[in-house]
Amino acid sequence: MAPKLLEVEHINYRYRPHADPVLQDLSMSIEKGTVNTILGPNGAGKSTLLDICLGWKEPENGRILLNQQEMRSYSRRQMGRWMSLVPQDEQVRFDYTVLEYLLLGRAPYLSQLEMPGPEDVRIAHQALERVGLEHLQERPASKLSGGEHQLLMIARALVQEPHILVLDEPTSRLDPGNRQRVVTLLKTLVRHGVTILFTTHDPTLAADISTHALLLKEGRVTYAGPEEEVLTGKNLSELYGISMEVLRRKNKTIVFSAE
Amino acid sequence: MQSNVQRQRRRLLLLLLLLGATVATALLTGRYPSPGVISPSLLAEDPLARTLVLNLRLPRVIAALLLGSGLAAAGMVFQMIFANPLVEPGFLGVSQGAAFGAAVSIVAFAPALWIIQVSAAVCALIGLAVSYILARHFHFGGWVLRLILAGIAVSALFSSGVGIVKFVADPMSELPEITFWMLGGLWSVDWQQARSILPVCIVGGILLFGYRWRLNLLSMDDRTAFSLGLAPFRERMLLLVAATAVTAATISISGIVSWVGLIVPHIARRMFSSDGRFALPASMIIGAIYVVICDTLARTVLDGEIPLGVLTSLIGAALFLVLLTKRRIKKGKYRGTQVA
Repeated sequence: MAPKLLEVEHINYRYRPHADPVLQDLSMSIEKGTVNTILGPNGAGKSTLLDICLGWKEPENGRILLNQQEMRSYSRRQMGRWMSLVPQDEQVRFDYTVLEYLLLGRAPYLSQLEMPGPEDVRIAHQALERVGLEHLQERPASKLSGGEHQLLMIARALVQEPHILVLDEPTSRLDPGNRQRVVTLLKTLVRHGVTILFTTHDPTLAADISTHALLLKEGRVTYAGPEEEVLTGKNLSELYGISMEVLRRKNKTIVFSAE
Repeated sequence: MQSNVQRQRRRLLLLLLLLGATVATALLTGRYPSPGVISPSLLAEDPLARTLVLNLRLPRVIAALLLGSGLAAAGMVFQMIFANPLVEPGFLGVSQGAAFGAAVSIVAFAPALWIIQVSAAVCALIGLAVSYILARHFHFGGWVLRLILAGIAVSALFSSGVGIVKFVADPMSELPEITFWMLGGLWSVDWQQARSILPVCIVGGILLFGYRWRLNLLSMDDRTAFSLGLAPFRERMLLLVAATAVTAATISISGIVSWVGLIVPHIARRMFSSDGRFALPASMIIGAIYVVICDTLARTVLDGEIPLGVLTSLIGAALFLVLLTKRRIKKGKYRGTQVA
């Protein structure tokens, strides 16, 4: 069994002291080299769970272990080296070039008053090549198309050289062509041993690239485990409240609504 | 990328040389012995000219340098931290706080200059502190939005306070003094005053300069900045306090000097890059050049002194209109920043 990189144990979370809990007695773990999907309807607590895994939100109780150590024992910079985030969407407020934007990903490796150097630039170039945007390095990041920007955010996350890549609904705003580009890139990263945790509303994407899945409903885990055991028509129908079918053909899985 | 870095560094060096030339010209420009620029050789021959330059113009030019670079650096920091190119150093109740402090001290105490300065600086810092405390108690929106709203409320409170003080001020003596202070100017600056703001400006300036690349990270939203290994709240507060301290120190000797902190960062971004590594030092140098030129015009164009704040606002507003209407800058297409 591969070592566990991230373990979340019996956590609860609520936004305000007396509000309804968003997450209840939730536990999950992520093994090295696996691709983990969190699926659930709107408001199930997927993004909150991601934020807790990133350390951005603190659970009321329970504990989170990163590489068998309490997450809170890590410094902010160490955390930035361990995990990187590809947000669902991000506004680039100033006209940074693509390369300047990518260099932001080197922050966890630089002290507070340090500037990126040639080695950081080399790593940024490498990430640009990996996502196929090397021809755009001098373009303003704010002028990229939606698909290019998604690839750019993934590239910045790769520049962080993380152990775990966290993606919040990575294909939700993309057209089919760009969606496929992102899926192909994620599959390539998986082959290179990158550990991935992502949320999605797309069960087909989940089945396509993940090794493990976690189904979340009203803040509770309903099913969790290897993808082929969890992503079944019965489980997904229960999760979304509509009849769903899962069609598996060799390396391709399609999930569709049967209604 | 490295060649781009070197190119930008060369351009910054050129800008520094331009600043040096501007300072030299400002020192030699005045109304003695006749209006215009005097020859440097006159300084060796004429003791009065030397005294004028060393004891009157030099501290004033140094104050203009500190004022321009300080306000422009603070403006860049505020704009990047709030991810909004329309904010300026007086944003969190700082300018209005300083104006209130100065107005109160003019009316309530003998109008000794040092009391006005201390009162303005203290009230500017109180403006920031109250904005911060209010923002902590708001129960909606993100941290940046809460701080912006708190700043607007505090500015409005101080502004009404200034109105009340003006209302009760003696219209023959105190009211003109309040009005003149709020128009801004460096006519009263001597060596002692220039020296008094030097430590805050140097420490604050070095801190802001040191964080110039990290400002890019702090311009991202909180969650992204956090995922990049930052403690966004702590780092933003550190820079806000430094920027406000520099602003409070400089306007304590100059009065309200508007538009420098708003317009100069825009010019720096247009001329160099949005990357704080180049935009911040460029902003500091351009701010210094801008204020030294405006102050030189203020003391030389007419027989009497034109308030500095009037000139910076007039020229700044004109530049702002040009920037907003000019669609093509450098070789690229329009590179305007988006309003958050």
